[in-house]
Amino acid sequence: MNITSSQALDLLASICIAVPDALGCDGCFALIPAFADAQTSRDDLSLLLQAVQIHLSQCACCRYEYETLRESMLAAEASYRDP
Amino acid sequence: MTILASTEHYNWVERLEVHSPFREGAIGELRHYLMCGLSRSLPHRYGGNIEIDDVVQVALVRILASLDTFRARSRFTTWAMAIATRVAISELRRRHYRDVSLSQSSDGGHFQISVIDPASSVEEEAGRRRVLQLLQQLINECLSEKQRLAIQGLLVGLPIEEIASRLQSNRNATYKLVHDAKLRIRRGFEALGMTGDDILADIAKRNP
Repeated sequence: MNITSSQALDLLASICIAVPDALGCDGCFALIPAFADAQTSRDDLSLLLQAVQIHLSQCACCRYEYETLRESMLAAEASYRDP
Repeated sequence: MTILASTEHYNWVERLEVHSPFREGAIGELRHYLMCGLSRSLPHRYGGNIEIDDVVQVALVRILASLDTFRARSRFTTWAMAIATRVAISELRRRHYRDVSLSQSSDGGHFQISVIDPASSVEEEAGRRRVLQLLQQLINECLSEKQRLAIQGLLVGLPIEEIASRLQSNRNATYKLVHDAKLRIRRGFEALGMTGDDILADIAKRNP
């Protein structure tokens, strides 16, 4: 298959940073609301929520959803403050 | 993990229960909350080709059906927004990638890659070729057929969720399949004496 050097680099980078991940996508989804709240309130992350951070660093799918969730939360909260 | 001291979530769950006299009002309030958030975040995600009303309706059905799974580890509204976000992004991804096939890039099970854009120097070209030949060799020798297909999906830019649907699997299992493949490839590189830093240095020797 033909690829660009940036596609190759993306794959190789993701291989180089791969570390054991205890959560997977299902475990991440179960904890992502608590993780989002902790990030919003700038709480220290518990060991369990640190596992979410490890998963997000390796899973572009969950990371994209988390970024969307954060943006949605901020917009909804702002709308509630300033209806 | 912080369990919120606030009773905010209890109020939501109680108000949304089937026999609650406040149910309709609570559903309307939650709908408004989700609409406010998603109407801001979705338009620039995968082209934003989606009706927010429809997404919120599907999300509300799922949220109401899952009320008994809410564990109060977060605010109720964050939990609900996470469900709505998953509904929306999954649908946007499905539409965005519906014309991308895994089989188009398959070559009889043997994995072969070539980089189409020119390297900026002879040194970069040599380093890149070396790493990519090893990558190709490790993919062919160390991975299962399913893992090779999944890696092809990653290379053509498919998200894990879409790779899962093409493999007739689920997202969690496919993530683990791909993650295991990456760890196997990395161990293969290490067995050949190449660390992660070596690999990145070889492939990224450009614009020094």
